[in-house]
This record gives sequence, C-alpha cells and structure tokens, in this order.
Amino acid sequence: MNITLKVWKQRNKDERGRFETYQVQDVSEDMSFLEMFDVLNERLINEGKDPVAFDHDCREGICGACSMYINGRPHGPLQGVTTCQLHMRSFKDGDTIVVEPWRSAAFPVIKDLAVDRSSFDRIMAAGGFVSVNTGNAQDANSILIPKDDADKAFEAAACIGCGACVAACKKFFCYAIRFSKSIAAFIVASGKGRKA
Amino acid sequence: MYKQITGVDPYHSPMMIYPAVHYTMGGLWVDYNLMTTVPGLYALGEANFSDHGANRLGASALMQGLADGYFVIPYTIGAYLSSEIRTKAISTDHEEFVAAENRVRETLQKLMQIKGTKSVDHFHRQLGKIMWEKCGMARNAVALKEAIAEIQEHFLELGELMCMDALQRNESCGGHFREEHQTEEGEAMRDDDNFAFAAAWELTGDSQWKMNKEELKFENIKIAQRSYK
Repeated sequence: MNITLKVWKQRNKDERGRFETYQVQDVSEDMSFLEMFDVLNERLINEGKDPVAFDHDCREGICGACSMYINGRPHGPLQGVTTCQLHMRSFKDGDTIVVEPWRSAAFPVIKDLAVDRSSFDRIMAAGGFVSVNTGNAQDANSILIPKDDADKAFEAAACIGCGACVAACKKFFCYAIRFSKSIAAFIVASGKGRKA
Repeated sequence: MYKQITGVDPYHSPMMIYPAVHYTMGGLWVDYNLMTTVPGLYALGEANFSDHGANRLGASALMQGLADGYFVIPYTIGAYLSSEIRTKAISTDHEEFVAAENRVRETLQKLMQIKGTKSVDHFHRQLGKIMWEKCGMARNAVALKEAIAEIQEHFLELGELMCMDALQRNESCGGHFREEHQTEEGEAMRDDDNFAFAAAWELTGDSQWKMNKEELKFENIKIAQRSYK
C-alpha cells in the first residue's frame, strides 16, 4: 500500500514547527506504524535528508514511549493500543495520515515527534511514593481491601505512564496531579495504620 | 493480543510461532553487593549477570530488577556511601578526568570523521543477522569462528565477545545449545566436570579479554540435564 504522511517537523522546543509531507511506497499491511516510520527514515538518511525523530523503546505495548498523535487521536484509531502495536492494516491504500507529537504545554517538543515528559517524573517525585519502614510484610490475605479500592488500585497499576491522557485532554494534567496526590495520601495513611 | 499483532484470529487459524531474541543472558560482573569492578559503580537488574546463570526467563528478568532495586541495593549501597559522603566535590581538572574526557572525545571524533553513509539501522540489522544465525539458540564452532572474523572486520566488539564465550563453552547448558554437544535424542549434553563455572571476561586492552572462572558450587541440589519428559 502507498501512504501519504503529514508529519510535524520541529527542530527544537523554541523554533516554530510545520507539517512536512512524505510519500511512503510499498508499505506492508503487517508493518507496525513505527516500522513504517523506520522505512521512511532509512530512505531519508540514504537521501542525505533529516530523518523524523520519534520516541520508542519496547515496541511490545508496555513501555508507553511511542507517543504519536495520529489523525487527531493519541496512539491512533484503536482503543487501548499503543502506536507500536498499531499496524498498517488499520489504514487503507492511498490514505493520508496526519502525525503530530503529544500536544500539551506540559510536554515541550524536543524534536519533531519526541516530547519531554519529565513533568510526569516531577509529579511522582512530588509525592507519588513514600518510604516507610513497616517491618515484615503482613500476610496479604489478612488485609481486607474493599473491592472499589482494589479496582482503583488496579487502574493506577495498569497505567504505563505514556501521557496519552494529557495529550488528549488539556484538563487531565490537573486531574493527574490531584489523582497522584490522593494515591500518595492513601499509601501514607495505610503505612501509618500498619505501624500502629 | 495475537489477533491485534498478526491480524489473524487464532480461534480459526493455527497460531504461527517462531523464536525471537527478546534480550540477552549474562551481563556485567558484580559482587554480592551488586557493585561492579569499578568502585562505586553498581549494576542492577538485567544489566548484571548475577542471579540467573545460563538461563534468564522473561518474568524472572523483571523480578531480578525488582529484587535488586527493592531488596538488595537499599541495604548495600549505604556501605559505600557512608565513607564517600565525606568526599568533597571532585574537580573536573583532575588529570584522570581530563584523560578520560579526551579519550572519549577522540573516539567520538574518529567515528564522526568517517563521514559514513550508512544508517544505524543498517549496522543493527547486519550485526543482528550475524548474531542470530551464528550465535543464536543453536550454535557450532565453525559458525562461531566465522562470526568472530566478520565482527572483527566491521562491528562493535561486544558481539565478538559473546561469540568467543559461546565458542569456549564446549557443552550445552541452559538456553545455550552447542550442536556438537547433544544426546542421541537431541537434548542438551552438559559437561559439569569442565564447565561448572560462570565466565567473567575482563577487558585487558582494546578488544582484548581475559576469562576469569567463577566456580559454581551446589550444596543442596545435584545439577543434572533438564528434561521435560
């Protein structure tokens, strides 16, 4: 399949960015979205042009590094699927795909599609954890956790910290801060409870 | 998940299964406190060699990261820091610092001045192919020697060291299968008389290594060939 890409190119956080149009030919539908970018970048490097900078790490859907805003949605058209697990079969031959970085003031652009997500680290450092010596761990079965709390805890644990929520919703960042603080408060409270 | 990746529904078509490199076994040598041979430099999780020997399975690699981070390093690093805390800020004018900085700068300059035309991906693929085909799950002496020669010509030496290590180990053990060392039924054939040790390779010069043997002693169990039968 042949794809037209409109990709956000920006040299650094201070310079103005713009959309650049690229044609990518002979794309296999089994390629992941990132592999399609690998093919494009290999070609750009061979032509002596500047490749498109983007973040990636595990490429198996668990690290959350592949932050791409695809056709107006973080991680593209599928539900609960990161960009690296999005395959070209989700698109049609001849499609034009618009790719932007995470769009949020909290995530300044480093280059092209790569953004600085250290604001998330600052939230965690500000109170997302606590170190309390509580002695030996109690048998987990003897601590009853209400189902609602357990479900909320699981939701927090399932987050891979990719930042899509912030990119999608400008207000979410405020919620994220409030949410992490309430978790911290919960941990502190339960730690104290156990000590007593 | 399978359907998401392949686009094929495994309820209707058989799953296609094939081996792939997920990560490498082994890693930096560390002592029981997880400190490397460089004083004050600690290596945790998958970066070190310590817990898993010749095998490191998927979930156990993650567990090693958690165990090292939660249960080992908080209790061991303090011993080093307690005396280091009195050390004042070290000047970057120190002659060792200047020498190290120059050494790195020269290496980088040398690489940049080549003005190469090939991408990082190009080297990654080529070296990856050599390692996959000649130092993969099943390996033999002939192919390993070819790989060493090919890597010496074009590539980074870490792959070469992995091939050298595989070549000197004349047995099949854990995830490392030497084709020359198998039973009649094609199972891994161990040689615990000669290879009951972890190999710790010490860098002695540019692309020069010396092997140190760390004997493996088992007091409560008897090591034996693994069998799924």
